[in-house]
Formats: sequence, structure tokens, C-alpha cells
Amino acid sequence: MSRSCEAEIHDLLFDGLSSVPGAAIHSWSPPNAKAYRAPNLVLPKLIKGVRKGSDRVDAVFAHDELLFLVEIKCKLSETAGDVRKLRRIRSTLGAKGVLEALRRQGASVGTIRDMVVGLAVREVDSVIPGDMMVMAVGRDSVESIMDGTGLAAALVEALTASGQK
Amino acid sequence: MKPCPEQRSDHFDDFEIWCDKPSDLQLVGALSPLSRFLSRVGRVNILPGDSPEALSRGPAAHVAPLVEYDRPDIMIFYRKRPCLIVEITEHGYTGDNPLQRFARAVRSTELGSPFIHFTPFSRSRLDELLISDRPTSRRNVSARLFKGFVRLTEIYGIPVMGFDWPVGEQGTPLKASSLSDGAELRAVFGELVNVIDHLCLSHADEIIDCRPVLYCSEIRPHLEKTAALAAAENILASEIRIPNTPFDRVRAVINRPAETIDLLREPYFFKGKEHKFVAYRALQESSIRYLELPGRRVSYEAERLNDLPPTFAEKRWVLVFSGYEWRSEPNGGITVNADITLCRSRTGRTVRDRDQLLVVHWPRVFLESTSPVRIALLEELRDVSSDIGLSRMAALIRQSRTQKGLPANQINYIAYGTRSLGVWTERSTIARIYRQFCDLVILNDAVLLGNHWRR
Repeated sequence: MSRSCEAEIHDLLFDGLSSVPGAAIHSWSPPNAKAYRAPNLVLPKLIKGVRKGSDRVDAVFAHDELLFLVEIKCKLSETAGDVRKLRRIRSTLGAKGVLEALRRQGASVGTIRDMVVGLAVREVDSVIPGDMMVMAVGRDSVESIMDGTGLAAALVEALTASGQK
Repeated sequence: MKPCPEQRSDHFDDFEIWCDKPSDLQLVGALSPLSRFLSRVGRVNILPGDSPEALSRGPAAHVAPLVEYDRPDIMIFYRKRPCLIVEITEHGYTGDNPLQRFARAVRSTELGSPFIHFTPFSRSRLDELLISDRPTSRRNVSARLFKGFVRLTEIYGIPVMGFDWPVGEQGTPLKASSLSDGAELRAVFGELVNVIDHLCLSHADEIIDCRPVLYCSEIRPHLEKTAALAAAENILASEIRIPNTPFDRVRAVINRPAETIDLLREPYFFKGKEHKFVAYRALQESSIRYLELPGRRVSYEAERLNDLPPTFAEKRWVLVFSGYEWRSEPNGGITVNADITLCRSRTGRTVRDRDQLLVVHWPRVFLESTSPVRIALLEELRDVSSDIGLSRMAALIRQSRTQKGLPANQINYIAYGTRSLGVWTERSTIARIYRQFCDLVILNDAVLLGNHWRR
């Protein structure tokens, strides 16, 4: 049975980040929610200031004092819901709230100066959200990173150096 | 004590492993370096995501019977027969959730295969960790799960064992940060791998020949641990399982479904999650329109209950209430666990071998999608989710929140969705499980029979 494109991106990104010196994976939520190799943590979901359950973000990792929250899909055109969710998390929790939630669940996150939200996709087939980072993940590696945030340069460099980009 | 057979090393080609999901396949691959058995099995595949019927027409036809109720994570077959089934879940919580995979254990033992359930026996809930910096109390897996395992072992003579997934300081399951780190993997999965190796290398022939393996000294400690966990008292008793119920009471529920509110007692609905009020309102509005009798379905009239099989009136019943929406988990596991632990006779291997019959009351599910009650309740649900809150459901939730000292209008965790008030679909996993294990299923608008009574 062929693996889904989404599962392939998950594995490539996980493996790629694992090989980046200084990168730390804090939470991973694979397509079937079975995360054997990383904690699968939750974030409080706040709607109009009221907690309405929990959110899971596909990939939560840190690099160069930045916290990255990344949602994974095959096509950029399929990410409208993810974009809304990431923007909501950024506006309701912010880096501080996300960090607090992760630490309470046992994650050891070092110093963080800012948070980047982004998407990882195989096909960039629609307009890139200007306030996000978009990683184009090919069949073997992260092929390019379009960084609307202006913050992710160190990650791009690190992935390049590790042969992932 | 009888010694275990020598480990064989000449039969690896006779094994195959089927994995439910890619991550299960990945785990098997990662554990292979730790395992003499896993490292030498050539055929490790992901089971196609087809229905059991479709599977039975393809190369995994021999796997189809195993997944008839539900799909376990790792399925080890020897000479095309199930030899060891492993279920892995980090969601070991109290209440009913740990039971959600129980149907898989039942199917495994029905087919003669040992079953291992790998889960944290005691862990913190992530949503509770989110709330405060103070340490949260850890939640133990319900003893009902382990009682079910012990009963399955008694009934079928097949080992069914709980294995503890170790947790860290915070009470969350330990993970191997890298699947290539043998030491980390061994710390988490070492015990599991040892038993997989032993059962497959030493006992596979006995297992597929239906010879007993309970004497095995390697699995004895795990069976004893499972029995000890089964003997523990749950802090919270199950309020949704009502055993020893006369059929007259079941008949009363069918005639007036809101009777179940009295059976469970009203305070049940006013504590815990606000979702319970969806079920509460569904019970209040429910009335039965259709009744299934052996070989036919009729419009419901109270007298037609006399046409049900005479055994129904002769035996006591276990009534299981499901306040959940239309979904298979944890409904299926709860029901099957109730069957095995409360209904079956001491050695009852089939649903016909019961001391008590089994009825599930599931008022949030309808036989008819166009039921006026369903449409009206969906409107109430939309009203609750929209903050307007004029419906009876919203009023109940506000009343409950006020009693708890919570802001009345901040209704959490309820979102509008048609599955919240679902429609019975015969080909679904949960319908298969209920038809297989229940004697009666009471939906909001219909009463259905278990398969063993339909013909």
C-alpha cells in the first residue's frame, strides 16, 4: 500500500529536523494520531476567550530560539482550515501561552524569543499566506522555504547545511 | 512446571505481520534491531484500509476475520493464522475510554490468538496538565478493562495481557526521541519485544494448533499482573451499566425512553461534560416508532413486544446507556466489555451463552435521518452552539453551569454537527459490533435486534 503524501511529508520533516543540530522536536501529531517517537501534546483552544477543547498542531519544534508551529497537508490549497487555526493560536495564546502549555505537559523548551507559524506541503498551488512560513517538501527533502515572517532564515540555513534543503 | 518449547529459527518465512497504520509499520521496523523475531520476518505490510468484506477478496483474505469488529495495531500471523495481536495506545485514562479497543481483544481470542494491550496503566491527562502548574493526579486505567482480559483468558484459555507503557515525571508516556536509539526504545518497548519474541519463536505452533500456552513461564508474570489490576477497585463506579435488570424494566424503557433518566438518576446528567445534555434532551423527546422482530420490522406498538423471543422475558438484562454521539469508540468497546464481564456465563464462548442478556440504549442515534425529533434536536444543538441559547438544551446547560458556579453563557465543548445526533448505518463498525454483541439496541426511534435473533 502506498503511503499517503501527508504521511510522507510528516516523516521527511521529522527526519530532516532530527538531523538539524540544535533543533528540538517538542510535539508531533501524525495523520493517524499515533505518535510513537515524540510526545503528541495539546494546546488549549480559546474561542472568544473561552476554552473550547484542545488543539493539536502537526509539528511543534524549536530552533535558534524560535518556536515553530507547522501544519502539514499535501497541497497548499487544502490548508485554509489550518491557516485559520494557526492564526487563532497565534492571536489567542501567542508564544507565551503556547510555551506555558507545552511546559506544563512536560516539554523542556529552552529560551524562546518568538513564534513562527507555518505550513509544510508538497504542492504550492495557491497563494502563500504572507504572515506564515511555507515549506515545500519534495519526495526526498525540504525543497524550499518561503518565509513570509522574516524570522526563519536560520532554519533555512540549518536545513540546507544538513542536506535537507 | 512444563518447560517452554525451544525457540525455533527455521520458520521465519511462515510469519507475516500486518500493521494498521504507517506509524505501526514504522514502529515494527524500529523495534526490529532489538528483536530476534522482528528482525527476521520478511513480510511486514500495512493492511489495506478496506472493509472486512473487501479484504476477504484480496491477498489479505486470511486477515479479514480478525478485523471484523475493528482493526488492531499489529497483527502477527503464522501460516496464515493469527498468532499474536498487539494493541498500542497511549490514551490510558479512567472511565470508559480505555475500553474502546476491547472488541479487538475479543476478536483476537475468539480466533485463538494471544492479545497484548500496551498502554500506560496510570498517567496524567494532557488537558489537566494544561490547567495548572500544580501536579495533577494520575488516572488509572479502569479495572473493567483488566477484568475483561481476565474473563477472556478464562473463557477461551488464551492469554490476554496488559503491558504497562512507562511514563515520565509528568505522568506522560515516555517516547523514544529517535526511532534509531536502541537504548531509548528498549526502555519503553523492551518488555513488549521480549514477549513478542518468546511467544512467536517458542509457541507459534501451539497457538495455531489451539494448544494451551498459559503454562508459559514468560507470560505468567504478565497474566498475574493483569489479574492484580483486575482485582483493584475503581474509584468511580460505572453509572452507565445497569446489571440485573428485569425485562419489565427494559420494556418500560422502550415504551417511554425517558425512563432511562430515572434509571441513571438525573444528577448523572448534571455532572461532567455538557454533552450529556444532548443525550438528556434526546431521551426526553424520544419515542419508538419501529420495532425489529425476528425476520421483519414493524411499526411500534407496546403489544408487539410480546412477539419478541420468549427468552427475553425469562432472563435478567444488563442495560448499557450510551450518551455518546454516532461513533464507534468508545461505544463498541464498552458494550463488548459489558458482555464479557457481566453477561457471559462462566465459560460462555458465544453471545448465546449468557447469564444475562444485553441491551444498549443509544438515544442520540436515529434509524430515520428525517425523524422530526432529530431535526428539532439538531436545531437545539445549533442554538446552543450559536450563543443565542433560547432552546431547552441551552437552558439546561445554563442551569447546570450556574449550579457549578460557572459563567452560565460560556458553553464549552459543544459544537454543531450532524453526527451529534447521528443516523444508524448498517455497514459501520459500531453497527457491526452492536448487531454482533447486543440482544437489543434501543435507538431514539427504533428498537433493533442482535444478529443472533434476527433470523
